[in-house]
Amino acid sequence: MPPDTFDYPAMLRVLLNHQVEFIVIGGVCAMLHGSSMGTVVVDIVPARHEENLKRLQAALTELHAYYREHPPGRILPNAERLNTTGHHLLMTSAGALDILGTVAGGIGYNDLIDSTVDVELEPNLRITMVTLPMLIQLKQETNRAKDRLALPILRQLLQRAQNDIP
Amino acid sequence: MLNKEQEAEIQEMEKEVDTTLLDWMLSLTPMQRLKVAERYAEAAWRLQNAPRHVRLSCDAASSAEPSS
Repeated sequence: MPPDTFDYPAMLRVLLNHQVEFIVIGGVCAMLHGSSMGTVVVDIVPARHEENLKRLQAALTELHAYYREHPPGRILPNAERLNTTGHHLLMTSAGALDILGTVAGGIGYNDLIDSTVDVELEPNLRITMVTLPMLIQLKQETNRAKDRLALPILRQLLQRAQNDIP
Repeated sequence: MLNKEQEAEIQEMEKEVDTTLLDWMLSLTPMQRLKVAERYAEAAWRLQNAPRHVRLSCDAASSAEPSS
């Protein structure tokens, strides 16, 4: 069962406190860019080197993470399991968290890091997310129905940013 | 990648984007936007895990014809 209340800032703070290298993508990234389209999970792409995956495992332990398609506690994420290009659909004490080894047919952390921007949510809570043009590119390449639905809004936002409309 | 038909459909949908909602989102701080995302997700998960009669009443409410 998911927790009664979600706490995204707490989730991100735990990841940052454990010095996990990750990039926020997907719906939450879109909303941080100004999209009005809701989403039900936080999507992140972590760096998949050994040290980072150990830090990620420690953060996930603190967040009581489990694979949400299985009963709580049945299967727990660990560094070895997380070292894949696949998607890990987790529930945590702070909300649903998807950990994506790669996106859009093989794009990983190292491919995305040059197309990111840092956002300060509050003092000492600074996250890295993909830029709006990269988010649009990922949505176009992934090309599922829900990605296509998000595109009109994201393109409007990009147009506003380019025209410097507040 | 998008095919021609999908691209045309998205371009058509761009004209129908509710810009007042974008204005509202853009008026918020990044933390406030994150909290909007959090509240949306919380409500969606709560509904998904709600007893069936609650979900049915929500379905009925969302599909009800507006009164004239």
